[in-house]
Amino acid sequence: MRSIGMLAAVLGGMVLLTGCYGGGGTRRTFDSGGAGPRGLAGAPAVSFDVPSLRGPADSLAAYRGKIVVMNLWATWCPPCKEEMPDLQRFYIAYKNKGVVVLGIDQGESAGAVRAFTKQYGVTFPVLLDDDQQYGRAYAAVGLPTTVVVDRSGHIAAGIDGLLTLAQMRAAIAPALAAR
Amino acid sequence: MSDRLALGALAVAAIAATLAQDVVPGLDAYHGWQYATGLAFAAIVLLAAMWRALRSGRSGGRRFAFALAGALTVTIGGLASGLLGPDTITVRGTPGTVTPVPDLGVAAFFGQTDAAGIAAGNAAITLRSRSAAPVDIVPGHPIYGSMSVEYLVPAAAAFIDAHDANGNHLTITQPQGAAFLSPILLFPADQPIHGKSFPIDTFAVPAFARIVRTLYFSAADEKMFPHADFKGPIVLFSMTGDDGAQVGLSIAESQKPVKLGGITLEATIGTYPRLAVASAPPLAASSIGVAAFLAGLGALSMARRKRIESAGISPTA
Repeated sequence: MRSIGMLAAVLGGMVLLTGCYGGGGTRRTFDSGGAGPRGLAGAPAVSFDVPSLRGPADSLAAYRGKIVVMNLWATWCPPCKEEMPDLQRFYIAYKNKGVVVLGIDQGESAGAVRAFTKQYGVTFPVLLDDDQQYGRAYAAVGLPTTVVVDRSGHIAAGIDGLLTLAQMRAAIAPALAAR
Repeated sequence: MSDRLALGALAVAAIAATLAQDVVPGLDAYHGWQYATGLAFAAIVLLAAMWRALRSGRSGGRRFAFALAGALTVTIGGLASGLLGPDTITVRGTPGTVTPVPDLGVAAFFGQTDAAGIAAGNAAITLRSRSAAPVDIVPGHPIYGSMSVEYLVPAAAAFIDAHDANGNHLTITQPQGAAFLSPILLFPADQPIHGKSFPIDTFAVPAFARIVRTLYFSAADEKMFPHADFKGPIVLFSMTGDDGAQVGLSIAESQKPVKLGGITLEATIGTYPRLAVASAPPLAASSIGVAAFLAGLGALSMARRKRIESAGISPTA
């Protein structure tokens, strides 16, 4: 009689245990990305060595200590063309105030980029990001994308879409005010 | 077959079934009721046998009980991982991006890579959390947590290079992908063809207003193209204009450029890892349990040998 009770208890325990066995049973797959550059504020700004239009390799990290307005663009992008004159004006206005504009072309050859910068009178440094590493790392969801990096090398703001001169000023104001 | 031999075989089977979670992680079978019932049954039988061996009061019984306790430890670890371990998940990320993995309380940094890295399939993923040092996971080297195992699963990928007729490099975008400015296709969707699914992805060449749907065929799918002679995986480019009008089709082997719609396309075909997380028995329980099992059996065997020798009988007799 005692062994029958033991057997019942054991079987009951097994049923209870296997009934609870739900953990780890669900198989899910999910994707990263798609959040856009806005969510990057506060994160350390990553940097990659890529060729520059002026010749030698250059990178975002080379401008550490300055406020960097990093602009991702391409020659085929209509809003980039629209934004470019304001970006150049902004560069001229702030280049002696510890602010640098860094243009990063996405995936195009030097010849096409050089012709474009000549047409728009661009004088700020331009990097040639053949493998589009900056575009991926900064979660660009379109072009142009602007990322403001503060003096300590952290992202102050990530902005999708073209900016006016007034919006560029507003974007760097907090980083400029921080001493 | 003696009782001890049968119990020993059951213990080995339970240990093997549990450690299979480490060796071949993420199988659906580990989360079925049959697997749980099997381990629970083994655990109960091992517990009962251990109790009986201990109560026998003989030194041989105690040694056998020690071995069974080891097997029981491993088996309970296997059961616990199913009950308390994380769900089986696969996280797909674009190179250079970060995604949170709430099940582990970490953020997964998908390593940057290039065409050579895709061809070699050697990209790593780094897990970062606020409370611990970053952990790099590289292909072929799983990381064991308290109730989980994290490992990389290679998945089809292709790095796309595009040039115009003058050799100028062109921007690649993925308007519908997880990363807009990525020239790396990760083939997140499937396209059924003749009852079989093939990985598919889409990219754009905005400078030429072209959309390119890209189908991936592994080397094993070679028979789909009976008149072609491919040495490895290939991709099929199907190009349309922005207006949806078909421009053309082309098949490309890895690192062999093809011309389509005025564009030279080159796909470097290889793999990029996905992060997989599966429940796994606690490593400490498995290690201690297996060591105790082997030590118990070893002690039992040595005692038997001594007993035979002291009785003046050859052990081989």
